[in-house]
Amino acid sequence: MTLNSMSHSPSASPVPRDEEIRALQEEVQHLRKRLLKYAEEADQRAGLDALRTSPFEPLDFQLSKGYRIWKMYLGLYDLPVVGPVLTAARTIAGKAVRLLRRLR
Amino acid sequence: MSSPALPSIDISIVLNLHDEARFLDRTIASLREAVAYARADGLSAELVIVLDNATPETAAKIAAMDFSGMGEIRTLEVSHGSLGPARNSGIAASRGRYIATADGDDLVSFNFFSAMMEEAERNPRTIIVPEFLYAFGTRYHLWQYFGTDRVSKLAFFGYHPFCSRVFFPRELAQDIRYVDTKATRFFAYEDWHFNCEAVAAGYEFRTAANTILFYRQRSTSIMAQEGHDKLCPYSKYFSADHFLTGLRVSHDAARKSPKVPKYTPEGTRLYCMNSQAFLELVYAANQIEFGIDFEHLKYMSMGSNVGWPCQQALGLASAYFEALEKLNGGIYDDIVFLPFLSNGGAEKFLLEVSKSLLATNVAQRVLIMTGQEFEQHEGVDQLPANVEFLDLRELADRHGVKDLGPLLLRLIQSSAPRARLHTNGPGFAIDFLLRYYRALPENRIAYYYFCAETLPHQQLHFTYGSSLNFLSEALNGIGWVISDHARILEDLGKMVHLAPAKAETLYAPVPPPAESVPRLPYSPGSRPLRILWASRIDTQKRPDLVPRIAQKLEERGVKASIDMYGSSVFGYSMPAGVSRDGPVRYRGAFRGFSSLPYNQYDLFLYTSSYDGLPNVVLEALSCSMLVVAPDVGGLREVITPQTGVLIAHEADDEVLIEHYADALAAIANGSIQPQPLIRNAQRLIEERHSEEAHRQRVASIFRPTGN
Repeated sequence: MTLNSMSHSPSASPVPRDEEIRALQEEVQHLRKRLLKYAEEADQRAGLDALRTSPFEPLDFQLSKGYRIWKMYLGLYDLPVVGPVLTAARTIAGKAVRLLRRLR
Repeated sequence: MSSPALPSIDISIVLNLHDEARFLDRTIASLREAVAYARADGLSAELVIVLDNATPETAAKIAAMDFSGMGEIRTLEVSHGSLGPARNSGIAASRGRYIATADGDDLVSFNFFSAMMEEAERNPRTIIVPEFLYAFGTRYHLWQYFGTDRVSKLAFFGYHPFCSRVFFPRELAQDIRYVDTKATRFFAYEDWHFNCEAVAAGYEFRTAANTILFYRQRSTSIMAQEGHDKLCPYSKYFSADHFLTGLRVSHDAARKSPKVPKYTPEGTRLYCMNSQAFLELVYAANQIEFGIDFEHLKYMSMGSNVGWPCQQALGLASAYFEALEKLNGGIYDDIVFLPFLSNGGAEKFLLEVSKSLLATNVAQRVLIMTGQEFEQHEGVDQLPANVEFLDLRELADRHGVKDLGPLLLRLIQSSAPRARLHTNGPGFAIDFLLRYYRALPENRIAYYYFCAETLPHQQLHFTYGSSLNFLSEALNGIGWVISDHARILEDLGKMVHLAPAKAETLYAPVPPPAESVPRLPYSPGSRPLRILWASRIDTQKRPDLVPRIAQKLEERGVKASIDMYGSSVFGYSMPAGVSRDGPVRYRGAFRGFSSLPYNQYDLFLYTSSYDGLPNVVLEALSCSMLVVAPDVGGLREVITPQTGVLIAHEADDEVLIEHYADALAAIANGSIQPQPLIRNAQRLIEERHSEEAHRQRVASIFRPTGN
């Protein structure tokens, strides 16, 4: 197919072409925006956001074993599969403990 | 009544240009992308181009440029020749709700205006800055910014924690304008000054997440940074009022935790190397400017405004805060720089000047600042009313501040804007004045010059003129060169082209003796001549000559005993031939001439190798003593053939000792009659060295500052 055969093409008329370019540019910007948003979400999921917002040497308590275990435990709740299960388990366990207390 | 219509434009980008024709295609392409991206959020923008003495190429480039997709374009031609006023012109011509400053050679990430607008709308009365500065070109580095929620506002004291590219609401520009730093002829950084003013006006700083300023480093940028000593002009931020009230919370926080968290640049590098968002933004910039790439991120140095410069600035600001607290908002007419506070020498002379300034109402308040490490300053408790004392060295050391310069500069600007600066040349004061006297055109320097140090080397006497360097370098900033005698000023006039109008002789005041005890006149041959020697035991005062003079007298059969008083300084040991018993006896230290039993002696012997017009000689004359002294410094102005015995100064010690022995022998054998000399000397002291004469002279040299 040659360009000449594209009689229906908007490029045939200059005014619609400008509008089309503007529309395409807008679409590019929207796509760019979405792409950047996804990229930022990906960074967040990869834990990179913390590096960006807090690139500091850890304080003494942050280096302690207890704190690190606690942070690892909390990290489990962020995992896609394990996290919701753990949250649900904690809720159920909480309810069970309260029920047991009442039964006593 | 109708309210004025709100501007219909959201963002005004004020782009300042001078000679950036070769970069403009890339700069505008970058701005176009950022504007297009912001437009997708429904934001409108205008571009205000300010051509400040633009080169023909830059103007032609702008005229021929395609600005489609950039919103409204306004072009201004101005000839300020200075970035500050040029930015003001651009801002005045703009109409947007928010102002974004821009420069002709830098690029921005495409999310720049969109993210800044989002942050600005969320935080009123806030200036938004990019989160990252990616420097490229002749040098590469990456800088990460944190807002004033993380960076103490005290940091502005020591350095500029942010950059020139700022995004702020229009209201701020109505209150604050960029300063013309070129007009100050010393200061730089109109952006630092603008941001200081904003802090003083209660504004906060926030970063727009993941925005990058691509900051072009040119060979001229390197040259500009070589003048790194430059500071921003004085701002309300530094005022005692703002510092002690507006920044009290910041100071209290800094006092509680004086150490800022330690920044780890590798954390930032890890983020930049792995972040998908950062990658997107850098890649888009790379499509416009190949100087911006990903590879450099692996190696370029990284830093942040929360790192060590922040820590240094906090120490400096805390020291400044405490100094202001001590001065309690006082405005001073005179500042006296001393190495330390002591009861003698040049320190005493400057203290007497301070007293006379206050007594004659030429000054209302005087501030004494010392800058040399010193354990126990003498006489702090005895300072007269309206004289404050500030041990700057101790204060600086306590806050880990090495360089006193910026601290001193801001103290003078805030608490002594028109004060005279008196100094006799301690190292810290000379360093400061040489660096900053151009920055203080309202503060005239009174430089006190008493004598030049002279040291022997292989029987040659070398004069050390480090203080002359200061005079030569800073002569334009010096209002007065003051000495305690006239001779040295005449010499200076010949050596450093000192204008006679600047040279002032100010004879030191001598208090009358506390008690006048009659002394029996010496009768030749009746008893040995009793000689008093009292000075510092050091190289300058030549105590080593004394036993040799005594030996010479003994050889000539002149009966004499010499008592020496004084304490050793700089580890100088007592010369051989001086003992507790014998013709030359050491009698220990003394505190002021009046503490000496001078009535027990027939004459006062002075042997200094170089000097001004020493207090001890004036006090001896005041106490009716015959003085035998060398013809050095200003001694000939007080010891004349009518008032005492002046010894011709000789480089050869043997000849000099002969001269001393001749004079002392003449007194011992009655060739010299002491009484007329003593009477004349006393008259001279009463007339020229009285407290009243001193006050009158001080009032004739200085005028009230009008503070």
